[in-house]
Amino acid sequence: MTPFQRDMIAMLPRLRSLARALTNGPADADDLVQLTLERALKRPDLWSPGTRLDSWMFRILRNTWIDEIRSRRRRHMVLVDTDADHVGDRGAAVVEDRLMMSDIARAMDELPEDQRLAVALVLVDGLSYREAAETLQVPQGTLTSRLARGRAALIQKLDPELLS
Amino acid sequence: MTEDERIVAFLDDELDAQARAEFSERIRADASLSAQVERHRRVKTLVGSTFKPVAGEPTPQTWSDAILAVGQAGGFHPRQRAWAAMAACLVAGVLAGRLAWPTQDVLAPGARVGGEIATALDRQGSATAAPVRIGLSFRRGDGRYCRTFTSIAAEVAGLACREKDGWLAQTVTVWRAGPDTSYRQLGSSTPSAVLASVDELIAGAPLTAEQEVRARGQGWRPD
Repeated sequence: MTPFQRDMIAMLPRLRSLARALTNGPADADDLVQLTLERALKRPDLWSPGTRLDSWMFRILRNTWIDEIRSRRRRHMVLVDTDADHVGDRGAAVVEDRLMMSDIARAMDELPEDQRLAVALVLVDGLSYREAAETLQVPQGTLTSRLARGRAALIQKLDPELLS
Repeated sequence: MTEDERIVAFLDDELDAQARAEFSERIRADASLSAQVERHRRVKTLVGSTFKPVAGEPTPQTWSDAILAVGQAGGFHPRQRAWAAMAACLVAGVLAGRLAWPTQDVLAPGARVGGEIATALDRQGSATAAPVRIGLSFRRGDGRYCRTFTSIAAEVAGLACREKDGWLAQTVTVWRAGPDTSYRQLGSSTPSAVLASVDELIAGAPLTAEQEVRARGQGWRPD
């Protein structure tokens, strides 16, 4: 086993918990990790030895996730009428999926993508602000702002009972 | 820095010593600030306790197998293209199985198909080049019309049948046309899950072009 392989295998649990915080269910999260792995292993030459493997993997995970969200929107656009009369069936399925989620997962699911990423990297993976900002390739001030807005939004979305 | 930014930086231990001391002082003096800090503290705990334990679960064997398979391609030389290509083949083999990321976002059976796809189902002939491609049309046992469709742009493929109030999804799956997928080689652009659904429902042969024109003229209503 090469150091690259060892480090990559050691990262799998972290990728998975991050994916769980970003997506809305265990199956989605595992598919996201699998696609991330597939992309990373297809082009390992894109990783520069000496740089952080976790940041590289997290970036691939982020890109994979964003790509998937966009293609879901495209599918939704071509498949579903925009007038309210006809969204009923799919709406019901969404409501059902969401009923299975914990309150916190549901609140996370409602955050804008950039805020959800910031919250997941810092509160789930435990990265410092500097590390999270480097991973997302944004200034640290931007990271802090997304993180604070995301967490303030979670307070708004959660039942006050849960927060007391 | 906004107040929320200061609060989270305080909780995450990202303030320098002086800012931290000053902020602690303010919290002591300000009950409403202190209450907001407590709410933020609770959110931090809740997010952590919900998602961090996931990292303690054993991960699927296929993931580490895929990583180890890459090594068997001759060691890790990240700058070598040839190696990367070999690795890609191995990875594709080990991780094979799912065509794409989940189908759950796509329409559930019985959901009404709308948008561009419904328009194409209504108006387009089979095998015509258009953003939405209609594969084939046929009749079900009860006489109702069904049609398969794919959209490369939307990465979706499916089968819908015409009911009284519109086209209802039978099978709609995520579908990505890879550069070398067998679908194209076979001249068919319909994935196997959709074809299986066709096999299940079809009564007789697919419609000919003439039958299709006639059905379309009748608004896809069974006689």
